Amino acid sequence: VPGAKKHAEVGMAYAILVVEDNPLNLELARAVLERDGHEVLEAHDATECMLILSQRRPDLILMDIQLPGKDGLQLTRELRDREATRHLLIVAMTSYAMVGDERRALEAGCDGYLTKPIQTRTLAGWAAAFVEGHRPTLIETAGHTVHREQAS
Amino acid sequence: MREHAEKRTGRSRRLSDQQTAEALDQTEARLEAVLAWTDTGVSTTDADGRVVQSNPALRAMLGYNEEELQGMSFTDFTHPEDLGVEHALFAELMAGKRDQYHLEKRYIRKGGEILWGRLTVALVDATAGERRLMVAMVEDMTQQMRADEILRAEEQFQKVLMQLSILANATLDMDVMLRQICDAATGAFGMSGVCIFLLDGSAGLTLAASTLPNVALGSAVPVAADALATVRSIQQRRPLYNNQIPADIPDEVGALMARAGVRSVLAAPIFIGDTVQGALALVSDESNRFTDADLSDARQVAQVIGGALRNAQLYRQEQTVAERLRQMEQQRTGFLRIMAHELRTPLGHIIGFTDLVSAEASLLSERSQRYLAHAQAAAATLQALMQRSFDLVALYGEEHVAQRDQMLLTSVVETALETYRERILGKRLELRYVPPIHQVATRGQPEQVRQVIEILLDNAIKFAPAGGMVEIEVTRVDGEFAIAIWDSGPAVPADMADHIFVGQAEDALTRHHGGAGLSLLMARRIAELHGGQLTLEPVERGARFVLTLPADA
Repeated sequence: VPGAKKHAEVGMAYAILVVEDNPLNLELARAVLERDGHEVLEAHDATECMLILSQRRPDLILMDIQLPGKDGLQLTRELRDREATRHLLIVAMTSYAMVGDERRALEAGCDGYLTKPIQTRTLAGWAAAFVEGHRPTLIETAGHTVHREQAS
Repeated sequence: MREHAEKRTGRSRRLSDQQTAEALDQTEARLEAVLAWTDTGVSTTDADGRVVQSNPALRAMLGYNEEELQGMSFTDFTHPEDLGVEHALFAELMAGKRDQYHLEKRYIRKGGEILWGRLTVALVDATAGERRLMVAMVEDMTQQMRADEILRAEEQFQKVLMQLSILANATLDMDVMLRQICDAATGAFGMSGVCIFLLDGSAGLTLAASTLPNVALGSAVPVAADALATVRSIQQRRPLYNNQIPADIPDEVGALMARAGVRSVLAAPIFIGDTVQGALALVSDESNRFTDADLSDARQVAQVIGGALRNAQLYRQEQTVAERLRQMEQQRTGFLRIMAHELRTPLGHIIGFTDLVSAEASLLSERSQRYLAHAQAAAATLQALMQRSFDLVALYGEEHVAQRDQMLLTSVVETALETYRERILGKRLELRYVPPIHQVATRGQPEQVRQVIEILLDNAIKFAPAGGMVEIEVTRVDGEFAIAIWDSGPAVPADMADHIFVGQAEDALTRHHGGAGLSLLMARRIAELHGGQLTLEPVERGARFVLTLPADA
């Protein structure tokens, strides 16, 4: 992966799926995450997301909850309902202005949330730490119920 | 009378000497003259109560001529309701139990009219046995009684009017109020029904309240020819009545009246100010129920209703205005929220991408690096301002602070002071801190209260001249805590004090710049959410803001 060496010095590089319809947000997220050596997978909507998940199993999904068509919350619920995608780590990207988005995100089954806009200096490190923070739990329990509780 | 007097004269002659007889003659002549001219009705009556003689005044009162009256019994021209009492009194007189009796009674005149009289009946000759005579004297009291009756009726009416006024002003709900007035007026005036109509836009009448059975409210009354005259009369502000409503008016109004058995209707216009608003209708199932006197009564009742309608309308308008203001406020808040949200995404892009560029700044010229730094600083300022707007919008969305923790005001103030120590030192400001004598513990959100104090401190430090002074005083007055923050900067003109919190002050004041308006607005909102206040107190020099918080919040 290009640029992976930078992150490799301090930690692991992860495969991160960004589900986001705004192309500039997507480009920014890609730039920031790739700078830290992560692999970025892109989906613009629910359909693209499902397509990617049929082929790959990312370490983390950054999910914009305001997607056109099927929104991020509904998509998250469906992922939680499927055996193949039940244990995926999902972080919702919420808007500060929308009161109650955080609560709704956790209720829909997200493991955590971050507030947009993307913080260029901290996002990559935060994402890596989030994955690492949940990894032991994943290994030990193999059940997402537990790490969802931890996340909230 | 004359004939009788002659008889008596003859008998007297037989009984008395010539002189005595002449004296008696003179007396009787005088008596006769008096009886002919007096207002008092006088008669002589036999033992059966039949009229033997009568004077002109009595004949005028009862409306009979001399022949007709002669031989009539008092029972023939006394009101049946008063007869029982008089029979008893007359019997007592006959039985010798009394010499005379007095009675206020009603007479029935020849034409059937009622006459009120004050009657005195006395025995003339107690020794005459079966032939004895009574003298009956009657004063006509009809005028007096009528005046009393009118007075009583007027008093009664004023009482009713008072009750209606109380009802009219007891509620601001127009429908309830009109209904109550109809109910009360129906009872008080002995009507079969009372209706209140209101003029609608098309100058037709809408029934707003009614005590008539089987009448739908709110329905516009179809204007028939008769009703049209009524409407016109009402619009010309004249009350009117119709005592002979025919039973077969061929329209809906007629059918309605027929169902209710209406025979007489009185309608009076209801005004607000000079404008006719509708009509009060009194409805009776008796023909000839109303007189001109009733018009004035109805007008007064209509006046009461007009006053109450005005109050109700004002109240309704006030409610509407309040509701509209609330909606505007909601729209404003919603608009701010959406705008801030929409701005956030592109601003995020500016900050994010310039940040990415600055990571590769070594590739840029020195000048471009400087320009990039300006752009980044401006974006950061914009973000801070938006954050503040967001916070403010959120604060205005709340009714009061959600959570109240125990907090010690002195430590909140001292923490804030600590934050600004460097800046105070840097500007060589003299800081005077006057802590309270007693403990000042209260409940609230310590973070928010600290934010208020920081905003005020920031403001004070900004406007105090270098080497100037900032003073903080915490006191407790009457169940309230007051935190006063004063600086020795330029004074705020008194007329600006009201505007300084609404973010307009910057324009008019050199002392305020850089978003101070938003901050002060936020500080005031936090104070309000805590049940307190933030005010700018007039002082000769500098500016003194006072934050008050309830002690037992």
